[in-house]
Amino acid sequence: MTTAVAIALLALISYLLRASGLLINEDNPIVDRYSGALTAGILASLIVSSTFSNATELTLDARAVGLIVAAIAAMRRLPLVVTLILAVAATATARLLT
Amino acid sequence: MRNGLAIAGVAAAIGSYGFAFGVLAASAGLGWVAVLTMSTLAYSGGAQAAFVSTLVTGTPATALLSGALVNLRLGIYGAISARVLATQSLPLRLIGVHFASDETIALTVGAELEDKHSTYWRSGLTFFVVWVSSTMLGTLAGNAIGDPETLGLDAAFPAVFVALLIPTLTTTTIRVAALSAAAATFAVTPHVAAGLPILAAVVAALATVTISTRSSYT
Repeated sequence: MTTAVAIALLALISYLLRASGLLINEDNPIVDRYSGALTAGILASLIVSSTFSNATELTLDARAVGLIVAAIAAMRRLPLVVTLILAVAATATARLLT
Repeated sequence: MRNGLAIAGVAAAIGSYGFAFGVLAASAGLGWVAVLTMSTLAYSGGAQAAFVSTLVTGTPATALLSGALVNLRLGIYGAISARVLATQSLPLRLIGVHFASDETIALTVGAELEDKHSTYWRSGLTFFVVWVSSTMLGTLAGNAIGDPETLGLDAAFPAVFVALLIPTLTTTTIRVAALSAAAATFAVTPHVAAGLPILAAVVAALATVTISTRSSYT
């Protein structure tokens, strides 16, 4: 699969998922029960992958510093802009110092 | 205009995140055409972030998998937008549903009943334009920046994922699901191809809910 095909498929899948909402009865209890946990699980997995790994290797580097700063900022409900700037600055600084 | 300030504030956040995304997309080797296509047709920040961050170390197929999984909640957003747009014609609903994003839905759900319709369209279109243009600008800038890692820009993805995650951790089951998904990801990463650990995370999250539902019946 080329990147172009993957992007096209992502676009198609995204639209189909949205349009399928026109058909869903959104008060389905099974959907409710699983969707929150599924979303959280997927996000948690992406956090791990984007912070602590490089392909198939587990790593620990300056990104972890950015993550901790972002987590603190997010828990304090700071605006996303601020969270991003703080995390990026923290990582850049950590990299500079190591 | 109601919500005008809220829409503007959120738009600024979307713009800055879109810009950071564009820079990282450029460093992942994506050109502005790819980013423009993704931003206008897929139009999903979380999924686009998942796609690009997986693409860096994985394959287009696993990137697609990550992006699609992140987008599962769009079905629910589509249902919400369907309710809000119920009075409009089918073609308009089919178009309108495309603008359902985390932020648009959040603002629409939080709006007063009589404002929901206008909030949806105004925020939906505004955020769409802001997202597409900021990701494009970021991509063009990214080609000029050189090494995003020196600027710590690779922390942008984890930061956004964490900012998206924290508000969802409302119940114990969900928190445990997130933890087990993270643990599964750690455990599986050294043993499978890049981009695939997310499947283990999905299994872990689903298992957590199934187990907790069962045990609440005993």
